Amino acid sequence: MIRTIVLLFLGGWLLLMAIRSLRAMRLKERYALIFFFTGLPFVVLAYWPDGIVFLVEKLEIEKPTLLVLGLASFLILMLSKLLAVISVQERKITALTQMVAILMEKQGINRIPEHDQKP
Amino acid sequence: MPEDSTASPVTESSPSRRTPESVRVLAIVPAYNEAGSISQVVRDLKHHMPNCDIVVVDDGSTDATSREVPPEAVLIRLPFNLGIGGAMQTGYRYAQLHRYDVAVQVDADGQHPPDQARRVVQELLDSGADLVIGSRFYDPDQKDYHQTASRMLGIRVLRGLLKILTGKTYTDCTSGLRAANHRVIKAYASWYPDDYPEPEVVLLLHRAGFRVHEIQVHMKQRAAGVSSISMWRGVFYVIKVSVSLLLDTIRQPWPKE
Repeated sequence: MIRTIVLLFLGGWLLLMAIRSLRAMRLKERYALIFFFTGLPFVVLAYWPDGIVFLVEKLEIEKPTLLVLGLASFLILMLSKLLAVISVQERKITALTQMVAILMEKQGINRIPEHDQKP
Repeated sequence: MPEDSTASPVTESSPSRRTPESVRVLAIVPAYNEAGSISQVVRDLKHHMPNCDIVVVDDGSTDATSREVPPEAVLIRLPFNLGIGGAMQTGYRYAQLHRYDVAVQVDADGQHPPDQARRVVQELLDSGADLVIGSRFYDPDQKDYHQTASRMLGIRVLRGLLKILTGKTYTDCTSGLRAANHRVIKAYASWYPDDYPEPEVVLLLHRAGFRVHEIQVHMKQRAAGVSSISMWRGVFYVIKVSVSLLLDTIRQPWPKE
């Protein structure tokens, strides 16, 4: 009973997060999908707890540690995707910064003392 | 081992010979907190290369660097610190936008004498190479630039690694005094490494089929740190550069347009 509640709560929370951030335009659809697909299995497992046993048998996972390994590799995969996104954005920010600085020189507003004040 | 014979400077001038005065040259001086030296560096450059335009890229300095830049130089101020790679690329973007034939990098701390910068540009024009590096160790008989033993070891390690990765000897891949032709300017403007650009571009340019040459230059002695901290920093520098170079071998050098 407790297990069902916990799993339902976890799954429901993840799905709710996905929907909320989608509605508030805080998250792009493709990232919200990650929440959706990680939340869904929890909800399924809440109603069908033997599902995990079924999965383990079907995948022929004999040691529970392998399940942990699977989970870890999923998290690392998500992290690397995140880092790739950040790297591309860093490149774009650098390019924008460089072009802004070159434009400021062209506009002749690079030697104005007001710009000396650093935030 | 220097294996290229075109390195000796041509002394007789012919009417068709291209010189730093007959082509459009841009000197790129990236500066981060160099208020004490930047003015002198710009004036010296202007004195030795009067026809050369100078762009100072102030990489978000927190001191008076940008106020110290004389009006002879173009001043580009980055709104925040991008690091040496980002600052240097700003200069190359500027060179690409304004269609310069040659861009020469000069350090803002006064380590690179302007007459040596001029020689590097002249060598680029004479040799037809895409990039010319001013090396402190190209000529083994030159003993005027002294390094501490640990630094020399680091330079040797990087030289050996580049020899393995490219099959060519680059005696001073960390030297920041170098001149690039329009092809390299274009490549740099589209992509430039962030972390250790000097050694990395040598490998990447080689892999992309550019011709990289070296000539012997004289540099001013910098106050070489001998403290244990700077030694450890040097060890980590060599390790980090080596890893970056190894990673660069699996990277696509300059995607084709």
